[in-house]
Parts: sequence; structure tokens; C-alpha cells
Amino acid sequence: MITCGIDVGSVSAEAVLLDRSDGKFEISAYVIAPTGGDSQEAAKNVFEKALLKSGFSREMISSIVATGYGRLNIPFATKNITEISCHARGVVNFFPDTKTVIDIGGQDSKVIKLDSKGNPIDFLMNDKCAAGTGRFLEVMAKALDIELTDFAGIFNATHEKVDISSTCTVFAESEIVSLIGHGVEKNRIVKGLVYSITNRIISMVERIGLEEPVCMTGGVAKNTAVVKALEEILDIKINVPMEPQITGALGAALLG
Amino acid sequence: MEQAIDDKPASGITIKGKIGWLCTYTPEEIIIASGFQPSRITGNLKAFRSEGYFPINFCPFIKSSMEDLLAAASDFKGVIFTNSCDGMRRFYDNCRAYIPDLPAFMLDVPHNKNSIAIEHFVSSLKEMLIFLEETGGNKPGIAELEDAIRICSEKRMLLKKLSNRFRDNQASVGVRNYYNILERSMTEDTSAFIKYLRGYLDGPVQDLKSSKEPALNGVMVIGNYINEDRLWSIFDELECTIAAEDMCNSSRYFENITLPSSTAGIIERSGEKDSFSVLLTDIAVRQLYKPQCMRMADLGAKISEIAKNIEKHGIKGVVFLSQKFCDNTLLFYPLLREKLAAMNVPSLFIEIEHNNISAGQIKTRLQAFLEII
Amino acid sequence: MGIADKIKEGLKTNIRNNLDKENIKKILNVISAGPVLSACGATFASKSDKYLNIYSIKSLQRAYSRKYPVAYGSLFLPYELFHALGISPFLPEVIGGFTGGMGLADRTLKEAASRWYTPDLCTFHRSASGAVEMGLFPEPDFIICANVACDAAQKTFYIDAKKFGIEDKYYLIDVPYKNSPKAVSLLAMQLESISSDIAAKLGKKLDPDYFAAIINCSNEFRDWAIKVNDLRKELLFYPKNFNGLNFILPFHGLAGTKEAANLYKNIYLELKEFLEVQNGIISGNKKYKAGNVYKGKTIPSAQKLKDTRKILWMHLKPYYKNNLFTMLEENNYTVVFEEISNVYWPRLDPEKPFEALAIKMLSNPLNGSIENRVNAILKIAAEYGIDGAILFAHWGCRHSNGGARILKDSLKNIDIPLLILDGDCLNKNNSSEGQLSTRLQGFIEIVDCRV
Repeated sequence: MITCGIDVGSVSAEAVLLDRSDGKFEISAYVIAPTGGDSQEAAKNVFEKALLKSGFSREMISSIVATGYGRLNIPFATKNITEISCHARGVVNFFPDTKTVIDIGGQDSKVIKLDSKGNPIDFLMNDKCAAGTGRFLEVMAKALDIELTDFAGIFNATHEKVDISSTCTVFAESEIVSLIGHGVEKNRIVKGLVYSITNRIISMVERIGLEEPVCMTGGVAKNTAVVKALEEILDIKINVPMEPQITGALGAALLG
Repeated sequence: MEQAIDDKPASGITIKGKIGWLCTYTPEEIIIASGFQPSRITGNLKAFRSEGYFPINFCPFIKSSMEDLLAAASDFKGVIFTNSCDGMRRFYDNCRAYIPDLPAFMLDVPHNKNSIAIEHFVSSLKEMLIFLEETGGNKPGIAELEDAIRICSEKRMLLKKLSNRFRDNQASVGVRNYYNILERSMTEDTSAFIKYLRGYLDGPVQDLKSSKEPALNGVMVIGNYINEDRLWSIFDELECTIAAEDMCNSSRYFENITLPSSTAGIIERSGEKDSFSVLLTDIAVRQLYKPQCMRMADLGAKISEIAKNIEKHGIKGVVFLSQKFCDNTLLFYPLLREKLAAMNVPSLFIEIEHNNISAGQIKTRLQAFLEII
Repeated sequence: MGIADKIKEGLKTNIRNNLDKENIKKILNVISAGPVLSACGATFASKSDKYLNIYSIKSLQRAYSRKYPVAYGSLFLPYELFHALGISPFLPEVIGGFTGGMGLADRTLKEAASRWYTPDLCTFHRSASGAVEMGLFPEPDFIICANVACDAAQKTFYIDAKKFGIEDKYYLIDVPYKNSPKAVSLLAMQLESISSDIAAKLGKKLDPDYFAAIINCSNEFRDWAIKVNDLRKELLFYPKNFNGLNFILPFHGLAGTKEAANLYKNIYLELKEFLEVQNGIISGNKKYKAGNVYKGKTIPSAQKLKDTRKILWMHLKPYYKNNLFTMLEENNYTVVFEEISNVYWPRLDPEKPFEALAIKMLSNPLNGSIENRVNAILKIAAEYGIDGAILFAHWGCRHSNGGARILKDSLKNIDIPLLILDGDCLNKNNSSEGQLSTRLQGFIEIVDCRV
């Protein structure tokens, strides 16, 4: 049986094709692409690309589960399930004992608590505010004129941070422009920004209750500076899957 | 299933006009006995002009209600406010300052439940009667008050019946429809509404689900004034069964029929001698001892109430709905969450802004919660 | 930095680095000891400041000592009753405010956030709740609050009661909305009932003679406070760092004690001294040459005194380091009075103590309709001849900010501009210094133009 999971987020869309025939379990193909302005088009696009990559035809797919913010708008999906259940299922696939999932996406972030069977039992979402999401880091990287990929290196190499007091992305941007103007080292600002985003996440983690093992997913999980900062403050080891951006789509395919 | 509501009352009494009210601790009996039609202000309009009177971080329901009054004060002969919360207190002040032609009264509701509080509340109710008389109402005698009590009790009993049917067979009523009917019960002419509801309850039951078994994923909704069509539609779309409720615009409005057995003898002990005051005391006691609002002092009693409800109806999860900036309700959540954790009952916390909800985000959260439980 | 400031900073750092109840208790024991207080006493900027600190520290030390029963109280309670019952009062809202000044607010607010206290709640209460969750406050034996001034106190205090397992020792006083003889009677009954209950639980009886003595002491404090307030109708030359908003703890929490009376007597004597200097400046006394320093304060010229703009400060102020008051001083603006310093209650009758305290509570301008607050402010505006008023609109303070428009319009009617400063008294992150300074500057320009 071949199932498909499609995760349409506000920034990126993913599709995963899963081959579960003959007791196998294999990711036949996965695709990540920007969502752009049309979530329906984006879903169709990643689905078709995944089919091409895997060599399967549409008829061979027994179920298509849609998840993410655009899940209600995919007419060719057979089912829709929220990204809470899908991320939980996807994570458990990589790290079966996971008890807490931290997902930081382009425009939202969430913390999901799992029971001993890997089922979600509680969750918290922040989708009202850019602080604590990938967008926050993007805006700041632009203001600093530094690549996001350089954050990890700078974070590791810098010892002292400067505190960013603004909690709002817009005001934080003004704040760092002002800091640069006052001659504060960019490296210290980068370090401060990483801690800023982790503070928002930690606030959610504390409300829900931290339980190890913890797994991080979403595009921002690829930013090792953020992962490291979270590990440092929470004093734990955080697992990150090989491709953290597809856990939602993978989970959706597994639940199909 | 809707019938046209005739605004003219069934009896021959001329209604003197509408008196608006905001909080369920306002006894409609007294308004009706004075010859007025009580009509709850439900924050229909989106806040616009009212933003000029309140700070940004202020109860959105109050802002919408102020907008309603700014737009249509002439619909009402007067408005009864209560000191239910800081927001309401300032709403009353702003109403008097900026809509001066609309007579407004502040009903002082105590936070405690004891003999001093009862005396306090009866004293407030007597002042309310004077206000209504000064606003052109009748001075009611015992007969008028008894009549009013009877008609209000009847309405509440019918609403309780409706609520029971809703709980046992939600699909036959529909979540959005249920709350619409409740809104009408608080705003329309009492006699006409009673007639309508009797007809509705006696009529054929639309049985989309013929099973009378309690729902497998029954939730309890707890909150303040939550009356968003789009929100309740989501419950319908997701087939989320509401097996118990504790809300300002539903249970806290009609669960005020008889005195709990623990209050036996309170009225006799109150020392009121004349029959009229005894009736007022009855009203006061029923109000103070009904399933209480989060603004009341004894939150421990409220937690116990909710725990009993959860056990009685086999509740699988609690959906906690609050208007943003409502300190009384929002500060109840830490206590409630602790109790629910001890009972192993998961809860979903949703904060909304009256007339300004993000349906997509709420749908995701509710759907995820239902997937969990 | 003066020695007193250095000591204060040292203590703050110590507490920040060793944040627990036992350490706080230890520090309080040390600094409240007689010799230490005397030694430090001389280093304070002003006598008022010195007595304020001494009595506040002693009051806190008593609360932490576990030697006396402790009761949490909300701000506008008749604390005379606490003292009559031998209970040591602890005011979480005020001490929550202190966390701002001590640089602890970040941590207490973070703790509150992780325990599901809504982030839209006033930070005085949020910080106090966070401190309780962190175990920083002394354990209470009783918790007392009232429906004045706000909802937040009633709810957070109940949560505290649950946390300490003393729900049966939590009391909420219902102050009737309108003042009337019936209201006084209802409130007096409540106070008497609560008092009996507490006394019974303490295993003692309230001594009526002792109670009468407390009431008399409160009247003495009231007399001095009124004298201070009257003097301030003329005073423009204040002692260094004097700020009427710093005296909230003794004004409420120590009402009925000898310390409150003594404090206000000393404030009066000190301000009287400064008034004499001020009169000397105006009459051209060569002893007070402009530019010289008198007790740490630069002597202004007579002209400067004449040109001083008089400000009424409404509600509360930010407790973290800020430049609002320095900006006012630099522009020759003086806060001649604060809403919080208003003696709003009549003389208390020691023969009828419960009634007297009921009258005290019912006289609070923050009770009931906003008309009461407006009338109090208009009276102050007239008596102090103010040029402008500033309302610090603390985030989440709905009882106050909900009436801001009415306050502004009421003052506009008597031609007095009101500046509404949106900010947060404790959370620096929720307040923008740049924005506040800009607004204050704009206001100063408006008032200067008019006068």
C-alpha cells in the first residue's frame, strides 16, 4: 500500500510518498517547495513532483492525507488531519520514545506533549505573533545583513550576548538597528536574537510541562544555533530528524 | 424549525418598553414586574466608535456592547449594569458620561454567599425597583412579582429541557442553533418566546442520530459570554459533542430554578417579615446560590461544581473559552487546569475576541483536541 | 553613587544571586537590626527616605520572621484591623512592585507565565503571583482582600489561598457600591464578622481598648498626613529624590501604628524645613544663593521657583530605572501631589471602630462610580493650583484605564491638560522608553505654551 501525506504550511509545502507494501516501510520520495500565494496550487505541485520522483502513478496511491494550515483547501485529499497529530506521528517514527515535540515553522510554532504510546495528549500553539517563529529570524538576519546559515557558526564562536528586550518582531528589528548604530558587535546581537526566540519557545514548553526525550521539527530545527540554545537553557539533549521539515507530511502519510 | 415571533405579548398587559441588561445576576423578574420587557445587550456590532472610550486591552464584549448602545440607545428605556467586573464598572461610567439620555443603573451584586451578602443584595434589588419606577415603570405589588417569578421560572425550565435535549441528542438541535435559541431567550419578549420554545420542544425531533447513548467524545465547555456563530458552527462541522456546559449565555442564565438543598431555611433566617421582601430574598438567594460566575469569591466551590459535572456526564475533555482580557475568567484557568490534571481530564484553552475570531486557528485547535481525546 | 545607594545595590545583587525566602529573611534580619539601621540611617538622601526605609524594612522583617501571624492584604484595606488583631501585614501587590525596582521582575513574570497566569494581567499581580509560585513570599496564615480596587487581587489571592491550603482563611470584603448609612452598617458587619473569625482561629479575643488605641494612633497618623498634604500646596522645593509614590506601603499597611504617625511627623518636619528655605529664596535671603547646594539639592532662583509648573501625578509609576522624573525636573516641572497620597477618609471614631473603618473604606474615591474619583481629582486640582496632570496608564489596569477618557474630559472641562502615558510599571520590556520620553516632551511643550 502506498500512502501520501501533504503538509501545506503558510511558507512551505511538503509531500511524502510512503511505500508500505510487503511489510516495508520506505519513504519513496519527498518534496519541499515554497507555498507561494496559492496553497491549492502548492499542494498539487508537491504531490505531482513527488509522483514523478517516485515513479508511481496517481492510481497507485491508496490515501492522500492533508495537513497544515492549507489542509482544508485540497480537493484531491482523501482526509485531513491537524498538524498536531501528524507531527506527533512523524516524530515517533524517527524517535519512538519522544515525549515532547517542539515544532518551529515559518510562521508558527507549537509544542506537543506525547504519552508513552506516542499519542498527543496536549499541545500549545503560537500562531498569533511572529516572535518565536522562523519569520523572526528571517527579519533579523536581513536587518543584520547576515545569512541564516551563518548563525550557527557565529553563535558557537561568540561568548557574550546582548539582551534583546523587545518581544515584538517589529520593535525588535528597530532595536537591533539601533544597537548596530551604537556600534554593538553583530555577533553579540546574533547570540541575543537566538536566545530571544528560545525564550518564547521555553515559555510554551513550561506551560505544558517538559518531559524528555524532546524532538525538534520544522524548518527552524535546521538552525543548529537555536537547537543548541534550547539544549543549553533546558539542560537537555534535543533530537532532530535528518530532514526535520517533512515530519508533518510523513506523519500524515503514516496516518493514512 | 423557526417560527415568526410575535413581539406583542400574549397577555393584555402593555409593556412599557425595553430595559437592557448585561449580566445574568440581574433578575429579569424585577424588570418584568415593573412592567418592562427585559432584553439582554449582546454586543452585536463590531467595536468602532466605542474604541474611543476604552483602552485597547479591554473586554471586547463590552466594547461591542457599548457600540450597540451608541448606535441604538433609543431602543431602550434604561439599562441595568452590574459590578460584575472592573470592565463593567467603567462601562457603566462611560455610558452615563457619554450617553447621558439613557437612564442607567448599577446593581450592586456581592461576591460572597452568606446572610450579610443576602441582605446586601436585597437592599440593591430594592434600589433597582426604585430606579425602574423612576424610569416610568410600575411599582409592583406581590401579585405582579409572583407573576413575574412564575413566568421567568417557566422560561428557565423550558431552557433546561432544551439543554437536556441538546445534551442527549445534539444533532437534533445543532450547536449553532442551540446558542441562537439561547440568545433569543435573553432578548425577545418573554411570553412570546415561551410560546415558541414550547412549540419547538413539543414538535417532532429531527433525529439525525437516533441513538440516545451519551456521546463517546463528550466535552464540557466552560467560559464567559461566548456567542460567536462561526465558533459554534465549527463545533457542528467537527461534530464535537457538548455533553455539559458552564457559560454565561447558557447555563448560568437558566440554571436558577430552585434553591439547592444546602440553602434550606436561609430565607426564613433572613429575618424579612413582609411577603414582598421575602419574595425579593427568594430571588436574591437563588441568584447567589446558582452555578456561579468566576467573579464570585468562592472559586473552590466552583471547581467542585465542575468536577461533579465532569463525573456525572463522563466528560472526556474540557474546552475553556474566554474573551480576551477577562481577568476573572482567565485567572480561573490555572486553578481549573490543576484540578483537571488531577482528574486526568485534558483541556483546551481558547481565547477569543468578540466579533473578531480567527475561525481557521480555532478549528485547527479544536480538531487537534478532538483527535487527542 | 552615595554610600546608601551602594549598599542598596549590593543588597539587590545579593538577593538576585541567591533568590530564595531564607536568604531574604536573613538579609532582612541583618538590615533591620538597630545598629545597622542607625548606621545606614545617616546615609539616606532625606529624612523622609530614611524613616520610610526603616519602617518598611522592619515591617517586612516581621512578616518573614514567623514570629507573628501573617496576613496577605490587598492595597485599600483598613490595616488598623490587622494591627489590632496582632497580625503582621504583607502586601503582595506592593512587594510585587518592589520586584520591579530590584530587577527581579523578569524572573517572577516568567514564572507566572509558565503557570498559566494570563499575560494580559497587570504586572503587579503577575509578579506577586510569580513570586508566590517561586516561594519568595512569607507563608500567610490569612488572606484578606476587597472588591476595591480591582478584580485581579481577588482572584490571584484566592489562587494563593489554594496554594497554601488556607481557603477557609480567605476573606473577600464586599464594599458596597454606594456610600450610605445602610452601606456603612453592612460593611461594619462584614468587618466585625471577619475579625471574630480571625480572632477565633488565632485563639484570642480582640481587645476593644487596644483596638481603640490603634484607631487613635491612626488618627494621629492621619493628622500628620493632612499637615503634610496641606504644606505641599505651597511647596515647590523638595528634598533630594523625594517622591510621594514611594510611601504606599506605610500609608496603607502601617495605618494605626506609631511608626506611621512618626513617619509622617518626620516628613512634615522635613518638608516644613524645605518650605522655609523656599520662602527664604523667594524673599531674597542671601543665605540661599541660587546654585548653592542645600542638603544635596541645588538651590533654584526665585524666578525659577515662580516659573515651576505644577503637576498632579495620577495612579502609579514605573518602578524600574526610568528618566521620567528627571525629565520633569530638568524642565522645571514638579509633582506637587499624587492621587495616592490623598487622605480621603474622615477622622475615625474609636468608640465605633468597625463603623469607622467601614466609613474609611467607603470613602475611597476608587470605590463605586468614577464620579468619586473625578470629584477627588478636581478638588486636588483646585487646591494645588496644578498646571497639568499625568496618568501613568499601567498595562492591564482596567479599573483605572477604563476611565481614562472620562478623567481626561473632566480635567479638560476645567482647562487642565492630562497626559496619558501608556506603559508598564514593572515590565521594562513592555514599555518603550523612547515612546514615553517623546510623549512627555510633547506634553511639556503643550503646557509651557499655555502657561
